[in-house]
This record gives sequence, C-alpha cells and structure tokens, in this order.
Amino acid sequence: MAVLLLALLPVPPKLSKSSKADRRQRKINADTLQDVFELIFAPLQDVAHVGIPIDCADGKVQLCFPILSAWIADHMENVALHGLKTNASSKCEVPTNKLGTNARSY
Amino acid sequence: MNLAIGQNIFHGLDRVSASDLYKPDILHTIYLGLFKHMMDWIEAFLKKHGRLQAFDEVWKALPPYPGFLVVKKAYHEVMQWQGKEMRNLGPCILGVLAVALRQPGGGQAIPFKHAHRCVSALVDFNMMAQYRSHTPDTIAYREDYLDQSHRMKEIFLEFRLTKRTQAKVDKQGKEIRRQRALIRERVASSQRRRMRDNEQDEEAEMRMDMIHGESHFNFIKMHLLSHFSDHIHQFGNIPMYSTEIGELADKTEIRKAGASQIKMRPRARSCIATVVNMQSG
Repeated sequence: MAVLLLALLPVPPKLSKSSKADRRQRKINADTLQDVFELIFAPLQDVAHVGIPIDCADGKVQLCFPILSAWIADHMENVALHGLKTNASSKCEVPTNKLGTNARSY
Repeated sequence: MNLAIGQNIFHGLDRVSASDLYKPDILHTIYLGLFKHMMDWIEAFLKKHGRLQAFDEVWKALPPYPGFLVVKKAYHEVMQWQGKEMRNLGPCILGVLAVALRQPGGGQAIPFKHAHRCVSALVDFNMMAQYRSHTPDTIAYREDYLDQSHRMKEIFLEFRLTKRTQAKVDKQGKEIRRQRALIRERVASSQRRRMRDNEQDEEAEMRMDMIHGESHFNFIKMHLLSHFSDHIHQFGNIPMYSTEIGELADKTEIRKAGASQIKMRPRARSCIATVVNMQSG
C-alpha cells in the first residue's frame, strides 16, 4: 500500500462539556476541520466531472475519474469527519437502542 | 436523528457516497473494541463463579508456539491491553476459558456452556474476518457466528453494568431496606429472623431483575460488526483496509514531512545523483 501524506489535521485541546463558551469553541473546531477537508478535496471536485489523464501501467494514458471511495479511520475519527453523534453508526441510520441487536435493515 | 447539524464536506463532493466511506477496521472494532469488552465480561463472569484463579493459572502455563508470544503475567496483572496483546489473545482465549470452566459445579453447567458458546462465536467471527479471500460460504459462516454470538450474549448481560445502573440499583436497595426496617419494628423478634432470610433472597432477585432490565448491549462496536459482511460483498476482504497499516505509515510520513521542511532528505538527494550519472554515462 502506497501512502502519501496530504495534510496534518488540527487537533484541538479537549473541552469540558458544560460551559457555553466551550460549546461555541467546539462548534468552531468542527467547522475548521470541515474547512480543512474542503481544502484537501478541492482538486477532486472538478476532476470527478471532467476527468484527468493518468499514466497507466501498460504505458498508455487513460482518462480517469478519481472518486473518493474509502476513509480509513477509527470510530471517533469518523464521528468528527461526518459530524455524527458519538453513538451513531457511520454507515447507517440505526437507532441507538438497536445497536446491540443483529438488525441489518437500516 | 443521529446527525449533528453542521456542514459536511461530503455533501458537496459529487459521486461520493458518505456512508460508503466507512471501512470496517479489525484493530479498533474487534481487538480494541469487542475483545476488550468481551474480556471484561469474561473476567466478571469468572469472578462470579470463582474460576478466576484457575483462569490465571492456565493463562500463565501456555506453552510457546510459532506466531504466539508467551504471556509472562497472569491475566489481571496485565495493565495495558494494546492491539498486539489482543491479537495474541484471540487464538488462545477459547482454550484457556474451556480449561478454566472445567467440571462445573451444581447449576453452573448451563451458564458455562452459554458463555463458552458466545466466546467461541466471537472468536470464530474474528478468525473469519482475517481471511484474505471469501466465498459465499465463508461469508455465510461469518453471519452464522455473528447470529450465534447475539443469541448467546445474554449470559454476559449482567456484566454490562454501567455506573448509572449501579447507582440506580443501590438506590433501590436502600429504599427497600428502609421500608423493611419500618415494618420490622412492628413485628415480634421471633419472626424477624425468618423474615430476614426471605428478604435477602428476594432482594438479590430484585437486584438481578433491575440489572437485567437496565443493562443493554447497545454500544457502537457491537453494531459495526453487522456491516462486515456487506462490506466484503461490496469491496473485498477486510484486512486490506485495516488501520494498523495506516497508523504505522502515518508515523513515517509525519517524520518525513517534518524532515523535508528543514532540509532535503538524504535518500532523495542520492536518487537525483544516480540519475545524473546515468545520463552522463
């Protein structure tokens, strides 16, 4: 697997849950993170529509439409990425009280 | 709704399906998630049935085997459980548990059997998740193991005790005792002893009912397992997407990023030098 570092994401200090100022700060942190993602993905935006010529292994050049298809992260990182609640699934809309059942229809 | 209101970058990206970005992850979901929970349950279960000592003894007596790190400490002496230790634990936990639960006493046979089945299903599920290639049969096996672990997990329900439930149970117990003290004052002393014996049984029963009613398995890692099979159908095997590789790569990449800001990397410099030599030669 080839790995390329794109960006180092800002990691804000942990905040307590209570105060109003903290809540606002948390919101700002989340928005900042989303802005950083937007910056990273900006080049992908157009390329997904019009395509980009990429060298192929057989020596030819192919018109490719790169589409983001995987994000490898642990659960808390996914929560930050998608803006989810902590006990929400990043894959489906299963209600919290059904997490422990074997339900697969969500 | 499970979504917090806010912006989400993936809504702006065309042809990207946000829900497909999630990839199942063996390190966090199984090793550090489910196995960790499972070991907590097993420990509490063994304690309840007085088999903790036996478990520790078997645990320490495990012989060396290729690919298996011999454990030096008793189970409860290990302070930190990281991915490496958890991976090590996967293959041997079932055997150790089986030996520790040998010769069940009166009334223990059925709980032991259920516990063993549940752990066995979870371990099998983990083993199947490691497969590098799958057929419809192997996926069906995994589904079966998952179903079985869900059917058998009830045996561990009482060990899913949260602090809030514990507080509730304590409060209920206190309330009952207070009421009884009031009643007892009005009864003759000869009857008191008999009443007390009955009450203790009743109290334990009520406590258990309460714990069973309040506890649940609704935590996220339990749910994420149900997506593993879909993922294999759609994208292929699971180890391919593990964070274990990524987290290692992260470290080297970050180090590189730091180095490149200060000076050119020696490796890169030597590369350029060779290219120049070849051209001139």
